[in-house]
Amino acid sequence: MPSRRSSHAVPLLALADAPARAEAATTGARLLVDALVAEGVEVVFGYPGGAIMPVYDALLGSGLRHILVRHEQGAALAANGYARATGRVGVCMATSGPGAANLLTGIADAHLDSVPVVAITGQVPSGLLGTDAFQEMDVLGVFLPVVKHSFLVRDVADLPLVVAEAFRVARHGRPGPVLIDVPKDIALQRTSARPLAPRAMPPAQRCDPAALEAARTLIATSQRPVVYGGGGIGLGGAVDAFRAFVERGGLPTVLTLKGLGALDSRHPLFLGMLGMHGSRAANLAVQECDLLVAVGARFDDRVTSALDTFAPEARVLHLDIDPAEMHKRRRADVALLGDLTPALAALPAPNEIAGWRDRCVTRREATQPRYDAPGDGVYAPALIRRLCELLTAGAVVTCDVGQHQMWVAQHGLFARPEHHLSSGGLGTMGFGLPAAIGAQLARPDATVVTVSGDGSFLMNVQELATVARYGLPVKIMVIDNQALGMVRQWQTLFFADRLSEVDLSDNPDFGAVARAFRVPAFALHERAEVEPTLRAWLAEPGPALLHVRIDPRANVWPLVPPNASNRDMVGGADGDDA
Amino acid sequence: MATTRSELRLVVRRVESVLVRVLGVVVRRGFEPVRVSAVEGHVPGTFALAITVESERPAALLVRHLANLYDVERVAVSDHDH
Repeated sequence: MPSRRSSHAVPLLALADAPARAEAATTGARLLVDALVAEGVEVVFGYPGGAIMPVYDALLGSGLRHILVRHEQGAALAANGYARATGRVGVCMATSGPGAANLLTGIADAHLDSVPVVAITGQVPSGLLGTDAFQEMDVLGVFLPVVKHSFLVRDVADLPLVVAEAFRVARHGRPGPVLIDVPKDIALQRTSARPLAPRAMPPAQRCDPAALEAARTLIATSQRPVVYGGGGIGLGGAVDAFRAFVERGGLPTVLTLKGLGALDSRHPLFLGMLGMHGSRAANLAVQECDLLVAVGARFDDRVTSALDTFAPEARVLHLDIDPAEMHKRRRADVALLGDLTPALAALPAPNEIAGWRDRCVTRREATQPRYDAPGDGVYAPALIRRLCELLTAGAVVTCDVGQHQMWVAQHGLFARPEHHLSSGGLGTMGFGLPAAIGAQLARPDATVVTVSGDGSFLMNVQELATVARYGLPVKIMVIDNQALGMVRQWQTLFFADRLSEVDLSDNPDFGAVARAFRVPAFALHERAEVEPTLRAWLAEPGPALLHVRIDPRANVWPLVPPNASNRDMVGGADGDDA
Repeated sequence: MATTRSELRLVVRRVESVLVRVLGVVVRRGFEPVRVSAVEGHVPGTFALAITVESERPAALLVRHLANLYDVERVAVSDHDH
């Protein structure tokens, strides 16, 4: 049989530090686990199965804490949440075939949101690869579009370098997920190889001085600048530098869904989230600005709406670590490629912009959302705002996807990006609960709340068993409108009210479901009960579910209709409302 | 927007799945490969790839995506109007 070249490209320079050899032989599986320990891994999320059994055997007595989820998607999303909450690499593992396939959504989610995750999959023995063996799937091929890189281990001696490189690649530059696929025979094979020390991160990448000078000129000649901050600020550890830049210039600032918390939600220069469900003040400031300073943001379609109408009068200064984001959707007048912290520190304050700043802030004040909706039912925006007011400092809020996700983004209060974990790029329903599990394990002393919808919650409801098994004090809010609310809203508005497969009025009794998993449950159906019920639910020492019934007709406002300009948003403080 | 034909020249490490990985990025990013060749590179353990692509998108975008791949050591492009 012809030899196969390993799927991992060993960089030529890396050959110089090939693994140190030891006398005592071990197995590939044990070597893999030891390499994870050497990387500083403390928690692994996973689910065992045939092809990965040697690795699970090696976990026994290893010191690694394994969290047994009840579906592999839960493992990938919990690792994802763990990484988002800490900036550390999250680790998940599963067996071959269906186990690996079930990881896919959580890994794709990490890919689109640039989250550092290492996924380890068992694989059928090397000799069976390509034979349609039991639980065989071309994992490397299936994951190619959704990982930063992937390795299929062909030689047990490669494992130390593969693991070290996987963690380096996951963390370095723009973070992302990395896959390690380990055939069962490799895991069982004896080896004298030893783990490598973690790879050192290269020094901060500094911007081109000429580009920096051009950026200074752009700022100096601007009269109406706006800062547009994204998820890269938190990922790049640049929150302090970002805040200093904004405050140094007194710059009106808007944030993406992923950027929320980069500037405190209560900061006087914060105009709100921009984009499809952004605030009127944020969107109009961007539409009227003459300089848009994009920091760790990628001009996502949910931000720009109709791209050719986005920030039509603005020159663009784009700061990012990833060259592939430069000019991808909007041509930058100046591109500052490199680490955000030194770049932001090198940028000056603009000249006098008090008039422009006042205009932006005045409009924000005039278009504040109202929380006094008519009726006696629970008003979700007010509920979210009150929840965030009650949370202790450092609390983490995870979301699922849909109307509740937008209400959290619009009305939540966040002091740091890692306090708001939301599936931005992939929009993964079912993200919230496993992400909260990961966040709670990463930050055991923090209050961790997940806000879910009745559609999303049932997508990973089995992870209530994980919450109960480990006694994680996650607080779970299920906002129930008995519908797939966001789809229903769009069908109402843009499909002539032709409602197709959005009715969830046959939902189970969520309280009974929670109690079946040994999780206490609370119910909230009347506005008058919001305050005492929130307080009682949050005071529970362990996990607790809060089932909230809301008006099924409630919509998310404002909204930019499809193919429209952000200037043409409807609803909100001075528009229509539900 | 006019379709542009561009020729990409890459040096990649000769490892498992590298050709699938490179061509996958080409296609996913909106470029149609119309000619592909891969030969052993001058440096042992490398492939020299020449890929002609067509797209309405600027090839410079694709170059930056390809340059991000772990196994790609060099990538350059020359544009020719279709």
